[in-house]
Amino acid sequence: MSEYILTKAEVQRVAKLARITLSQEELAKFQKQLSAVIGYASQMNEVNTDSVLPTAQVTGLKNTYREDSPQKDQSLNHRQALANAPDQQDGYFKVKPVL
Amino acid sequence: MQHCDLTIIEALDGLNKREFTSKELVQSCLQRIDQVDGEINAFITVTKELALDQAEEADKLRAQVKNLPLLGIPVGIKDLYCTKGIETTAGSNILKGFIPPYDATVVKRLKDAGAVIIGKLNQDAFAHGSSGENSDFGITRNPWNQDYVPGGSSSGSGAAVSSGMCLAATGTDTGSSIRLPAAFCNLAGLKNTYGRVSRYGVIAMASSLDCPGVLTRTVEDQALVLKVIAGHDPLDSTTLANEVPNYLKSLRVGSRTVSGRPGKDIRIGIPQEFFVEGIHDKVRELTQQAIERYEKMGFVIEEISLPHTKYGISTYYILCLSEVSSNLARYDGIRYLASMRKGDTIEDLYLDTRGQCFGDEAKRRIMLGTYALSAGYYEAYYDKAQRLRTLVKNDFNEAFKKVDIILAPSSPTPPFKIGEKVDNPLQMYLSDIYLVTVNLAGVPSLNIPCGFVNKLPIGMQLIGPQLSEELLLQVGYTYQQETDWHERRPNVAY
Repeated sequence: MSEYILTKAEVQRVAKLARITLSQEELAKFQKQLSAVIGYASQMNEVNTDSVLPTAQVTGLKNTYREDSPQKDQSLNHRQALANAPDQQDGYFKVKPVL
Repeated sequence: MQHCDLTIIEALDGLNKREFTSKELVQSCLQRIDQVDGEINAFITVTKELALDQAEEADKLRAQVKNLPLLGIPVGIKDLYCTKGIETTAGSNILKGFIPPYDATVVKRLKDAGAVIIGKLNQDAFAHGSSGENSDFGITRNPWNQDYVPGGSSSGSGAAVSSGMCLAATGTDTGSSIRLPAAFCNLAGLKNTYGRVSRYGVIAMASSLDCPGVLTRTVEDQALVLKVIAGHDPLDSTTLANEVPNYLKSLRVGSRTVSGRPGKDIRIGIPQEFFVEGIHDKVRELTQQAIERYEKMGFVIEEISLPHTKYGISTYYILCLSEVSSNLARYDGIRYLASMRKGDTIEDLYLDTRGQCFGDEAKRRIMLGTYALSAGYYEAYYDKAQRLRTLVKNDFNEAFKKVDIILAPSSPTPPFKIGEKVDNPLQMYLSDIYLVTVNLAGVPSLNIPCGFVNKLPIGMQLIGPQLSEELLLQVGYTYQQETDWHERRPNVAY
């Protein structure tokens, strides 16, 4: 029975979802730290929120639209958009095989 | 006192009277950087040649009687803001060498106002932190006492302005990060209403909470700079269309000043939940003294309650970290430089790049957010926190029916020692306890200096309803006319 809220397997699962590799040392460290924060956060259960609506954002703004037309002075050209790409070819971002 | 120790208002006065040039002013800042930044480590990148060129340009424009609001004033930019052609790292190795192809809106507005960009400021990586100890480019030290933290995440911003390396610095406040360094470095720092200032080009931490703003020496300077950066931006669909007042003008006119009693009819609420356990005795004492001073000036003081304060940290961190896990998913080794391409598949690319290039705190936060959003846990954590957010916001709505402003300490303790909280992330998160509920509610809050404990600065917050920046600045200005905490300068060795 784990003394921590999160098991090592759960930390590993979360790390995989987040696409982050962890060393064994990090796994142990993060298990302890993540468990402490999640444990603290469980305090939220003290409050009954059954009839409370969630807040996603506080501006009250709805449906902020603009014309769907290219805005030349706001657009990047190919060269600019690829300027920070570690690997590119023929104007495309180059990646390892996906499938 | 050197030119670099002046406030913006004082510097503009000196420049306009031709007492010195912008080039001399910028050189004064650069000299200060040379003298002390080796120890303080406020800057990641100093753009010396660019700054001197911009200063010369400003001097030319001034000679032509061009009247731009920040003409020739040296400003530092937190490395979270994209600056075209200048390396922007967000304090993280994963963005080392990244050169944005565009300027953030705030940067553009500062430049259009004639400001001179002097460099990119150090910070907790991706704004993850409250102390300045989470940078991949070294710790930033508090100029008031270098064994202590300057506060974070806009750590470099706080340290730079207070030590005269620049006259103002941009920061962001998602849960504390303008107000805490302002408090720990004896500065004015305004977290404005969410949506008042554009987030375009500011590397996203938590998109429903991030508030760009500035750190300055005085409330007057805040008023001046806020007018420059605030306002609707078509490039940020969460910005508010409300007109931007002339904050500096209204500061001086003080619309509520009546026969020498600045506080007439203004009610200040003191939240009882902020003064229970955990608050340092001297912080309590200094805050109490500030309250008494306002009372003497004629303000009406009332006790109020913000009942969900104790859930602030849980609610904030669950929501913030969930949004962080989403916003940092883009650092994939494909578009933003850092890349570990030893593996065979794209999965390897992600795992290795992110595993090796993210710092500890970034990993912690991404994983916590991922956990809170994952199947089986979403309701208990993320959804729950969103509902608590509603309750926190309601607390403020109710309070503002009774009072105009809320006054509270910015931090329960004075600045803490470097290394004191670094091994205990939860302890570090709890430093924000008086600050985060403000971000959840989206309301503005201004930190101003209110005293010293063992020669380390203490700050207090003035919190108001949405879009009440004008009132907060007026009330803050009133305090600064009666006190001189903000005029003190740290004894940086030079």
